[in-house]
Amino acid sequence: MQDSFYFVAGLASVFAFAGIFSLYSAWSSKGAQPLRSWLGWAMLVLSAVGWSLAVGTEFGISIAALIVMLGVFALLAVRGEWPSGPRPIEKQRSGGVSEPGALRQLWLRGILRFLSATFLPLVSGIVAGLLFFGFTGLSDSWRLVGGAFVSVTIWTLAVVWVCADKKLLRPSAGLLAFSVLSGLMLKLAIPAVAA
Amino acid sequence: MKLSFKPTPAFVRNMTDGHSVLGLAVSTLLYIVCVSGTLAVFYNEFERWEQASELENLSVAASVYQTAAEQAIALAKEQNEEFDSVKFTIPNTDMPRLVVEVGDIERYVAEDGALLGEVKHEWTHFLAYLHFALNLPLGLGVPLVGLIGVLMAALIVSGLLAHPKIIKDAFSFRLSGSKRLQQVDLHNRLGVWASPFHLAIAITGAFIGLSQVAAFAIAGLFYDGDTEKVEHILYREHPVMQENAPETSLPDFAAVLAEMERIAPEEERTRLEVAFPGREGQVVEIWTRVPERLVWGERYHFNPDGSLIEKEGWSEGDSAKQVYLSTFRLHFGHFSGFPVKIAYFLLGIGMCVLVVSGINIWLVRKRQRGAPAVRLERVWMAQVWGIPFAIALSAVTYLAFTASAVKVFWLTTLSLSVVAAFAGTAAGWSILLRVATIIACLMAVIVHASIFGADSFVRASLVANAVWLLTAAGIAASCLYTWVRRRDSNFATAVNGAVGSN
Repeated sequence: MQDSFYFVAGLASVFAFAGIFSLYSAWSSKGAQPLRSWLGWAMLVLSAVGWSLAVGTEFGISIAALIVMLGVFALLAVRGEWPSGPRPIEKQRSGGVSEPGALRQLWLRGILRFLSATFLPLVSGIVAGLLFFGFTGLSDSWRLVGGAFVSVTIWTLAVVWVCADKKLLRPSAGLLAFSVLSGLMLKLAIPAVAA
Repeated sequence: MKLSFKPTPAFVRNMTDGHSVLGLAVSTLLYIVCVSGTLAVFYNEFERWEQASELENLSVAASVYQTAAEQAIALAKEQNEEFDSVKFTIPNTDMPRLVVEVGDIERYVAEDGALLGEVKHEWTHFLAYLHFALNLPLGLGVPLVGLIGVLMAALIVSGLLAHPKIIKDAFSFRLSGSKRLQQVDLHNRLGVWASPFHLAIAITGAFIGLSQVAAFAIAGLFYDGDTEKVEHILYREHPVMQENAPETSLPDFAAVLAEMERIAPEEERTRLEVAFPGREGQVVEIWTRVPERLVWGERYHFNPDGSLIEKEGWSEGDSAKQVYLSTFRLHFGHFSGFPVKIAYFLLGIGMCVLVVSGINIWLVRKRQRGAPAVRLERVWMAQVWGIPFAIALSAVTYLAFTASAVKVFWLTTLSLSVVAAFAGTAAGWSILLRVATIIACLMAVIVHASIFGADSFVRASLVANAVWLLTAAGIAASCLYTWVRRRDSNFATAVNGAVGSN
């Protein structure tokens, strides 16, 4: 039993390292290398299968992923371009000091964006979770757990939207409209749902 | 139809700007959560390290529980301690010490069932509390850290979307380039390759931190504010004791444990709890860890005579419960033993470097544009090295003088940030605090060894002290690297100057 564990786990680890190396050679060479690339992914999948056989699916997938991540960092450390000799002299533009007024406006805009990214998505995320809990016909536990995941996912994506959209008004209005409409829907339908 | 996503330069620019705003806004708090979380991977080892000389024994006879329960209840009555349960930590691979808990009393238990010294894990609790609540009141701190988890997830998503050459650059690691290129490559390689780990940590962290908020919202809207009803969707209702229930003898621990062994011999027992001990209607719960499963564990309910009432079924049946209960061990890295803890520790360090390099990119970019944020650079550098220093210092002062770790940590961090805003250089703060952290890490081991002697270098204490020593060694290596690079640069400048003057 113990011997077979070490054999399977060892083989799965070899697959992981071979997969990493295959992807490395595919992505580092000039021109498309689809065969090597697909081979690399296939090896990584085989590694996950091997680890799953050795320690169960849940642990196996997690451990295989951890090995790939650490394996890549080890490869990067070995193959990376490490500096030697004196530090390069950094170029620096001169006279680029911003006007205090412009700088203040930039900070103000940043703060406003951050506040919008924090509070509006929070409301949207929670409302989305409540909608999932209130209106999906799943079991209680799935509505609860699924609602929490929906909440976190919508919240995250809404933060990304608010942060990345140059026109802050657009995501703000969108999320506000979603929250208000969903809130109204919940408010009106709750007696029926709770009953 | 061709399905492809090719981001436009404007999309990438907007996404990068948004990523920067978000990263800058949460930088320090996110960094504190990452550093404390990285160390908290060894939570169990640090708990045992704090009281390194306590008895450790994995096999405990059933009669020991009987004696310890009687003694703990007698002690609680003597001290007028209110309680409605007796809880045991069953010695297991993570915590191989028998502990009994009655009300606020928590004692180790000897091999004959006699009560030993008090359980004191203040420093480890500080570390964990710093990680999950930033040492704030729980009602505020836990949701705040949950919010940081959401923002971290948003940072990961926006970071990936802001990276149009994700495949092409997957293995480029140009540390010999300009400072900005160094930081960008470090940030992008860590961010992209470790993104499954970062996402798993961020989402499970947000999920754990915000579950109370979600429960309040759902309870408020659907259950007239009754949060217990929401809780009971996932957990079995606790038994309620009848008023003035007559006294009876304690449960038959031997029968309960024998039945447990018969039902699930492969599951490791971690906790035993007697609700309403010595009263009519008392019940026994045993918590176990299920092999090859990420779920937190399984819970069995027994009658006092040892007959099984029911298995709660966390590890089987309702898949939603299984998903929910799998988030904890996935977040903590407490599965599949010590190698996974080491992997989590290393990837945790990577996460800290990711946060630091992200802010460094912004600072270098400002400098290159001719508008360096000199004060911010100093403060950031004081925090980058000051936070690990403050954590190590809090461990030293707690071990040596039982000083409050919370006060030491926050006073040190805040003082360093304030002083750095007005004095020194970023490079100066970096080297000063790196050396200070090395000294503090070494002092933690020295002070520990002076208190616990040979016990400092066995079992969990060996692991915890190795964490301190390896941290010191890693930072020392970074100091050495900085020194060599600086010496080479000075030498090259001198040679160029000499050549130029000739």
